[in-house]
Amino acid sequence: MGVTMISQMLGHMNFGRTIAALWLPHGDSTFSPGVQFLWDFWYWISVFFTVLIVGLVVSFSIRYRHTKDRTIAENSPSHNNSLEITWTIIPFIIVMVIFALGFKDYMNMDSPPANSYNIHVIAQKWSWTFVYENGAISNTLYLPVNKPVRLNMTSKDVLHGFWIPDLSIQRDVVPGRVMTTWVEATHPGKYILQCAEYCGDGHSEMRANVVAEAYPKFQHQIVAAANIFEENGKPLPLATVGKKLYVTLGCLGCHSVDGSKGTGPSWKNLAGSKEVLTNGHSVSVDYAFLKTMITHPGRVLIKGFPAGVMPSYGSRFTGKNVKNLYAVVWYINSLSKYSNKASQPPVPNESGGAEPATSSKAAAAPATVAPAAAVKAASPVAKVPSGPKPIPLHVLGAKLYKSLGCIGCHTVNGQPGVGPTWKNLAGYPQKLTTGKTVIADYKFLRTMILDPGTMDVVGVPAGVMPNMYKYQLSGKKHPHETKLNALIWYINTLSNRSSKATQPPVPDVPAVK
Amino acid sequence: MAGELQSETPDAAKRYGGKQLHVPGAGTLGVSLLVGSLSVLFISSLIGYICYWFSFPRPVTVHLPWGLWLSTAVLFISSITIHWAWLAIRHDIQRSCRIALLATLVMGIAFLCLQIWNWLEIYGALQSADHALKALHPQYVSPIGGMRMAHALIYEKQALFAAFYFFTVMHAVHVFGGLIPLGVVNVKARRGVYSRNYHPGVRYCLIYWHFLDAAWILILITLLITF
Amino acid sequence: MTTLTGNNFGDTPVVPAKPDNYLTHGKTIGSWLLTLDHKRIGIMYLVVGLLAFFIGGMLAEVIRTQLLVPQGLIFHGTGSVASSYAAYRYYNQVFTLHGIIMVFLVLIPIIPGALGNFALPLLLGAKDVAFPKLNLISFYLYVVGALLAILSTVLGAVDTGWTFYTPFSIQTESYVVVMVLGIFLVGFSSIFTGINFMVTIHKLRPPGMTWFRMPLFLWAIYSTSLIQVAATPVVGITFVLLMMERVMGIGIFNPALGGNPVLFQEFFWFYSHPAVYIMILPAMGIVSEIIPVFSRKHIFGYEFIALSSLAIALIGFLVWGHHIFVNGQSAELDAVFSFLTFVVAVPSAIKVWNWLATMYKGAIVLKTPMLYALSFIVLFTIGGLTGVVLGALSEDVVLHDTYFVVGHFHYVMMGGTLIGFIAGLHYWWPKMFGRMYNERIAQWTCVVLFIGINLTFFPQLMVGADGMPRRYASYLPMYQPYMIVSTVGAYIQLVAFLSMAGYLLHSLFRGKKAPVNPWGGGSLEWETSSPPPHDNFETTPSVGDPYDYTDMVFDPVTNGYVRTEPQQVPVAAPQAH
Repeated sequence: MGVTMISQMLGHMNFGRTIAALWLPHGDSTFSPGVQFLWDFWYWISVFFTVLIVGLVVSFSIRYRHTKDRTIAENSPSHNNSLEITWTIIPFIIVMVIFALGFKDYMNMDSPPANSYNIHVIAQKWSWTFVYENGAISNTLYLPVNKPVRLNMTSKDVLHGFWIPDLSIQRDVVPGRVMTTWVEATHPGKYILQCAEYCGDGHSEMRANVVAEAYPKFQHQIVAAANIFEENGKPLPLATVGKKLYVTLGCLGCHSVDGSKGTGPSWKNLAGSKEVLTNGHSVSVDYAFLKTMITHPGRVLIKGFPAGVMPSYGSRFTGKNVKNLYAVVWYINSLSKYSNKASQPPVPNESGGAEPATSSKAAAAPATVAPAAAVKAASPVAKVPSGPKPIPLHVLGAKLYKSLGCIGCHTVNGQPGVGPTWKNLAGYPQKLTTGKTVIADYKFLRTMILDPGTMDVVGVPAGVMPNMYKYQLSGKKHPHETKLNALIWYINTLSNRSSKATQPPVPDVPAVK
Repeated sequence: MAGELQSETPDAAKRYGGKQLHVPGAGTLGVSLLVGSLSVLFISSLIGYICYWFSFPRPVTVHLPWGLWLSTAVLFISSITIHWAWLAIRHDIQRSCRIALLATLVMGIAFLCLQIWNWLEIYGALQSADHALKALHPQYVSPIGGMRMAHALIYEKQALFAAFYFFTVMHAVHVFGGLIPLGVVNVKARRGVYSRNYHPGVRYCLIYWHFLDAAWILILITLLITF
Repeated sequence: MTTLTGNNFGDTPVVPAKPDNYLTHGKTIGSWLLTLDHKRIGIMYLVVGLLAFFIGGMLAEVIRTQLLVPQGLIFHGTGSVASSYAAYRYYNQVFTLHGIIMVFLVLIPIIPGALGNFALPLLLGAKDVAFPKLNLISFYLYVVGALLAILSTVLGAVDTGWTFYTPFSIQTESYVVVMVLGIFLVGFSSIFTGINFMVTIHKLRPPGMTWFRMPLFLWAIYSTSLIQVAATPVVGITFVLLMMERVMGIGIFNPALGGNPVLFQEFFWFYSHPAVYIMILPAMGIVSEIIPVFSRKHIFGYEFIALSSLAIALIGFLVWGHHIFVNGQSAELDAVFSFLTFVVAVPSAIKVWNWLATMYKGAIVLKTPMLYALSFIVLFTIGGLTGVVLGALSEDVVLHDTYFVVGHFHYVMMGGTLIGFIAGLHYWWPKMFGRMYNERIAQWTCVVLFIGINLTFFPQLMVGADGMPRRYASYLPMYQPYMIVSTVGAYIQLVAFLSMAGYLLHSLFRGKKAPVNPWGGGSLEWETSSPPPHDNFETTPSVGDPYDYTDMVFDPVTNGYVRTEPQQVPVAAPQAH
């Protein structure tokens, strides 16, 4: 077929795949033979009936055409029940066979074997990410050959469709639940994964490469994929790693790096610049701000950019993955002429992701909010230091104010916001909707942060404050409530009526051991 | 509904430019089909809501306003009065029919007022928060503009609030839609248009009102189960 | 018979000029806009529907032009990935608008609205539909809905796809609410039309026309109306919920608020799958009318065709789940839906066989309506068979959301519904406007359109099966040859449609006067003059077997068919054959 030849000529230009067959691709998974068989079965039946019907239409039109001698139909019956029953029953039987074959294969597709290798698939606008059992993360889907793989898929934003035509699998990825499917590749090969369910601007480019390899090679690959911070055993500069992440995490879908307009702000000259938020505040894009925007994008919105587009990357940038954050922020800084100490991550670019050097950078950044400038840019807040230089809790609180997103609703300069300003809050009387008036002491502040629904202050809308801080600041995981105390200390520093009753039960500056 | 109600009146022929279009039974069939269509609407949304509720059960924290029982009683009485009007006109008791029709109209309006009261009852918390916010910030605009219900209502209870409003408002819209033809029928009955053999308007209202009644009972049962 | 060259306007001395017909009955604009005459309402539906079809069609040409090159010919980036994504948004808006216009403003309303309104009372020998005012209200609801859809586009368009899947449709910053409100109103129009037609068929059949002596088009319209009345409310409520979701954030479809996005799909397809039958059934009805007339032979298997319409309508309610096999509903449920999907395929097959059996030993006149009817059979066969493989569970996993699906439903919607509509338009055109069109040009146009449709959609079946997903603004280079063929096909279709517009407009003003019965049809609309008078019939027509052509001869003087003896009025119980 000529077209096939042309397409094969074009084939070397793309993802290692050409149109190999006229119809279905030559499938390489355990499902493929069944799918191919049913397809062929249907195909030849269809060809038969199409030819039959077209043939009858054409031959009747010629054989029985209206001519001068033939102006009226021949006498023939206008109904025949046995004929009707015949052409009801025969198609019925055929479609029932197709149904049964399709159903049998489908049940197989629906039940992953127990000994499957697990891969977690994360879909988001507009990229695919795969997490393997060893914790490796990649944007290419590596599959072991002749081993069933169970794919647990989640979406971060909207519906996506996980589709590998060559491996005969497809499943929608529905946000809010874990979708499962499984596949077993039978040959080593390179395939394409495409998004099949419409998901917005970048839908048509939401592809990923799929590489099926023999099991030992597969393991080697995912071990290599587990460490993006090194190349050939040498640590890479963080900005270089950030550039990789820019592609692999799909940032490039919305953020350009050349200043051109996209769905999100361009990263060109972003770090260190000034941005105006939707609530009218003007902020400088420093490290803490970038961190909030990346990990909790809904909390603060930059004016001029739509809400709800940016997926929450959360765990991909926090906890043990915090190095990813440094890398991306370093990359953003490398694109900006305004880059300064405040906008840079607390680890050096060249360290290649070595453990953050806390003390060496301590004296650098100018403080905007907290008085204790010297320790402002110290270590990331997640690691409350146990080292020789303890940070006052209120400084940590000032950072948390930004990173937890309190800044979205509460001002610190007395201006009105959605929630009450923190300026002169501690120690001042608060009128509740129940009519009672209470003093904003430690207990009150703690309750309002952890269980915001318990009481409502007059003039503040109910139900706006998220109730998730209970889990982030207190509870089993945070028995010492360090972060909570830090926030309350910070609130205290903003008030001129701060007193023993309004301050947390732990001292602001932890005792040096 | 108005179009159908008029299509069977004797002077319809004149209106349609000389076409004779008095079709016996057409209006009743039309109204029945409309009611059937609307029933699909109510039943499918109730089924959808129940499916939703089963898959995501919520803690019971919202109490239905007791006014619902009052409005149920009013709607039930109005259903009796419309039936009474129909029986009366079938026996050609004009006066009785007029009184019953008027009573139905009044009951219908009373039902709507009660429903509005019920909505306000459950809307209270949301409203006061909204007002307070307005007082605090003059630039703040309405729950429909930038501020969504998600912000103003407590997260987990949203679906229940939404379901309550959705079903009761949907039903009230249909009651309101029924009151207009009912008003027309009232006027016509006062003019003495209807007789023992000719009373299509009364019959249509009867069918429609019984449908409203049945739909309300289904909604009430669903709300009672799920709240 | 003869081909006109256009200059013999008024050259029909044997037919005395009618003093009055529905087109000349009242000449003011108000007499059109406020008319209660079903024929004029039908013509207004036709005008608005064709306008919508023109817009939708031009959008389709934009889509095909974009896909000429892998990176997009019209909407493409300036180098960076972010800029191409921003450009692809416009493509997404274009295909969304194409889908919405074609589905909600053309395919669903045009056959019942235009041809149904015009022909249904005529086929019944009635003076009008049961509720003429409601009919006008339906039309204006349709117009207002269409205007809202246009408004939404002017304001800033919608990029959700015509399916409005949540949560994308909740999150997207486009004018979904206005668009959905427009479709909501069109839905009401659809319900009212359905009620109107059902009551008309129930109550306005003339004496002697029993259920099984109705023309088959009426059976098709009846089945369609049944779906319109029973299914449309569901999409109405779905769209109300979607609007509430966007405006108030009620959280029922939004996973971020604990909602269930799949519930939207269930609701949506509960309407939108039966809606497919709203589109195709009337087209099948038209084909069932045309084939016997142009075969000069009684329809074969009347009851089977009639009841298969009803069967399709009823089973069609139970198959919506086959649109969502891969979205994670339980496999058992998938199996039930798949089974029912295959069951609903059978009545369609029955129809095709009966049409072929009608042609057998007929005297086939290959005039334009017949050519379109035959095109329908061929294209619908391809569309139907490709639907069969999509109904098979394991195959759907491979083919879901691909260009194979696009090809399949365009074969059914374009090759089925639209070709059926065009067939009906050509069939009733002489009755509508009292003019004949140029037969030769019309026949060639049909051939060109048939070629264009196949060139457009067959390559789509191929690339889809091979692995090209739908709704892609850019694609892998290996598919380019296929995409070019498809685009060329779309341009050929455009040529055919422009030609059609040309000769139909020409016929309006310069066409030869149409006889009472140009094709030799046996149903009642061919007993009244062309165009019919305001009251449809001078005298109440007598009802016989609508597919009996034995006592009909061609009269070369009027260029039409006449009965040699008056239609026999059967008095006994129906014995259709």
